[in-house]
Amino acid sequence: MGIRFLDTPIFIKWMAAKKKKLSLEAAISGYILAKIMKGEKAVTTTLVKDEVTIWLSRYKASALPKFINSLRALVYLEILSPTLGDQEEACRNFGKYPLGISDLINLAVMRRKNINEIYTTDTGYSSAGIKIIFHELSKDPDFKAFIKNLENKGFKPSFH
Amino acid sequence: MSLNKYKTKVLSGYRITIPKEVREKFNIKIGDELEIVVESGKILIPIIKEDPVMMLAGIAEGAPTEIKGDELFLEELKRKVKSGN
Repeated sequence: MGIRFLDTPIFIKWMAAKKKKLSLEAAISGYILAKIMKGEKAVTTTLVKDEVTIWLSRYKASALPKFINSLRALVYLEILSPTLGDQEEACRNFGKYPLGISDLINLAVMRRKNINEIYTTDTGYSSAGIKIIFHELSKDPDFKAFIKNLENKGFKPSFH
Repeated sequence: MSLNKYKTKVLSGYRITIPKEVREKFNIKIGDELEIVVESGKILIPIIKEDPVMMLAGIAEGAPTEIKGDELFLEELKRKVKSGN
């Protein structure tokens, strides 16, 4: 398994998780972050970080320091800065795939770094030849243990 | 990414002192737990005051999640232009 890219929805779905009605998507998102916390190397961009920052500032600005602290603690997550070359590549691909310009910049970073797999719920990436890794993670042997741990902390999954 | 280096001495019992600047920057208090991570010949010491993943769980509970990054930037830009900043 190569290094995977971590996309914005993973953070957002985990942070918007409902404790009394935890969705499968939120649980998988938390599981992905927990995998990275435990030592799985992953890559993201400053663009993803900033998207999450803007989203959080709109809905729960007081939680921003926690988000930043959490990013600091995720030592296996490398945060890359897109280059002007990545932006040029994104411009060339504009309209070619069902992806917005920020996704296309992330796509250019992935291609530059030879990353072929992404943790996301955004299906647009698959049309660009990037393999989406998400729903199949609920079949991971460690996923059950992760859910059990969440239940012990008071979370109530809405799925089985 | 900026890189800051600090020197510290290994004391008896293999204890080390975290430099004041680092303690203050990361708000490290006596009794806090730190993790020792060894990676490619380097030692990393992330703070584990709280599980950094659990810390984020539901911190913006119920907030809309179906929003694209471009929309977020566009709305931020609209706000900025509108307020004349």
